[in-house]
Amino acid sequence: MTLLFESLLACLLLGFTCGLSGSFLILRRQALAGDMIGHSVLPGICTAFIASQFSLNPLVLLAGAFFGAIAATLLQEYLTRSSKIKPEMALAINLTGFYAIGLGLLTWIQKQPGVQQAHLESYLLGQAATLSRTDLFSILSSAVLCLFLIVIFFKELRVSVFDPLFAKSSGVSAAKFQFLLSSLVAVSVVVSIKAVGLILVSALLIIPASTASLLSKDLSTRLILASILGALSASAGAYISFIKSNIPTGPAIILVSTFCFITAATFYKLKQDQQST
Amino acid sequence: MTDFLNVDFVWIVATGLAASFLCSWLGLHLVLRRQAMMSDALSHSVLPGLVLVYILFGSLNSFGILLGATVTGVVTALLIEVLKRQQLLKEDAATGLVFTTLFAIGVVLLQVYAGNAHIDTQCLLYGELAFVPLENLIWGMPQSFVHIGSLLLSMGALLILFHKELLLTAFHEEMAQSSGLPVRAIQYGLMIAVSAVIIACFQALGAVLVIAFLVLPASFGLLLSRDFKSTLLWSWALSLVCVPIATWIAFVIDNNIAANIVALEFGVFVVAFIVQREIEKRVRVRIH
Repeated sequence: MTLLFESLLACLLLGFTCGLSGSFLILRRQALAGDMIGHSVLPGICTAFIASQFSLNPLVLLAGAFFGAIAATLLQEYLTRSSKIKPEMALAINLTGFYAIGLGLLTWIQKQPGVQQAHLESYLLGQAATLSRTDLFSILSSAVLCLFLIVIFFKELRVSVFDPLFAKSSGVSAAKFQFLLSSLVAVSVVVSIKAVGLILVSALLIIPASTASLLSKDLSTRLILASILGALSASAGAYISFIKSNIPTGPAIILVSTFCFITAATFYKLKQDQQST
Repeated sequence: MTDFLNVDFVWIVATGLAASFLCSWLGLHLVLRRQAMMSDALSHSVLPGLVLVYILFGSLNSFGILLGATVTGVVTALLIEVLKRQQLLKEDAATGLVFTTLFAIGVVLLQVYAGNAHIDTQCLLYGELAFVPLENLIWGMPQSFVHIGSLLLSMGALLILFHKELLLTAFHEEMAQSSGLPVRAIQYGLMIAVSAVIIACFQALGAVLVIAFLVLPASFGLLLSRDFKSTLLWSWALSLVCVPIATWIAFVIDNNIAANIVALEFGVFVVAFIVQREIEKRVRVRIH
């Protein structure tokens, strides 16, 4: 397999995964939680890189990133227990707090003599060309995992998203499925940052899912549409950044998916106008 | 230790403090309106405006700051409002879609016109207070300090002048509307003000860390107090303690100054939060 083909396949799969988990995220009105998780992986990656004595193994960095994401999710949950700290305040605080710690560590790493930096920089804006075979496999397994969990727990997830009160009364633990959802988002974010960049990874969760929400009201149709749109725009964006090498992958993917959204929104509005006249 | 107390150190701390005072004042208004995440949105969506200003003028001057801020503040708030009003998206998804798209446009503009604009993605994502003493001097003072300081004075005057209106529209929107206050104009004015502050601070702090300057001290103040004045004083006290200490630490370990400031403030905030929860718990136990 060529490098181009592998990278495009990786982007296709991560777009698919992000579309799935993003659909639940926007239904819970937690779209910006993806942004917080995206920024919070930076200290995780840097700590893993330092702790493993500058190992270039992508799995080590992935584990670190996942650890950072989970730590931020737990702190978010803890901070919002107080009535003085509102959820959106906690999001902003966590986002920058974790990012600042990561930036401090990154600056330290960059000043170490003779350290191969494992393209740590490309984690900020993303570069699909830096994806390795191991990354491809971890992206593939996360896609399979997300799909598997969503298919198995579809009913419970649907109830806990649309009607948390009913879910509680019928014995579905909302907190448990909220945590399942957060983990799904964390997994999708963690495998995507190397390609999309941590600044813009939230867009891949939000935009395809938003486009799908305009096209259908039915949850399973939405999930299918969001995953297809995510996969297509991610791979198309990655392809564009391959041809035009001065455009990083993340921004290219975002612009393609926003283009899809604008097209869908125009048709949605036109259809609405037709129906009302 | 005394060799750190040189002119550079003083200018860096002065700039950091001015930025901190300005940001926490405006940030407190944002937080009270439950728009803390607008700081995140605006700090990313200023990028295309900023790049355009650099392409037009070649460097950042006061007029450029104002122009870039007005354009990006209004465009961001307007786009989010349109998506919401047209019932296309909920507020959180609309915010996320608008700012990431604008940021992506900014990055692409930056890459395409990289030769003409004297900013790069590095500087945008990191920010470096350490470069403040190396900047062009205006009246013998570093450029960033002059920009941030003059904004602190002018914005401070505006915030005092419109204090009542801002609080009334934040807490009692309907009452404000019925008493004839231009609620939307005040909201858009605040968005422009926040964008102006972000643009003025971005060279020193970077796009992401400026969010912390806006939200962290204000939240710390709200943990300790409920009325506006003492909340603001607490948040300034946090900056007054953390900025010099973190700058000194960053000098010693040779690290990014803004990142150190934010990391220290974050640590203090989390500790204060935990302590406060424990005290609350004990009080509750005693009552029962």
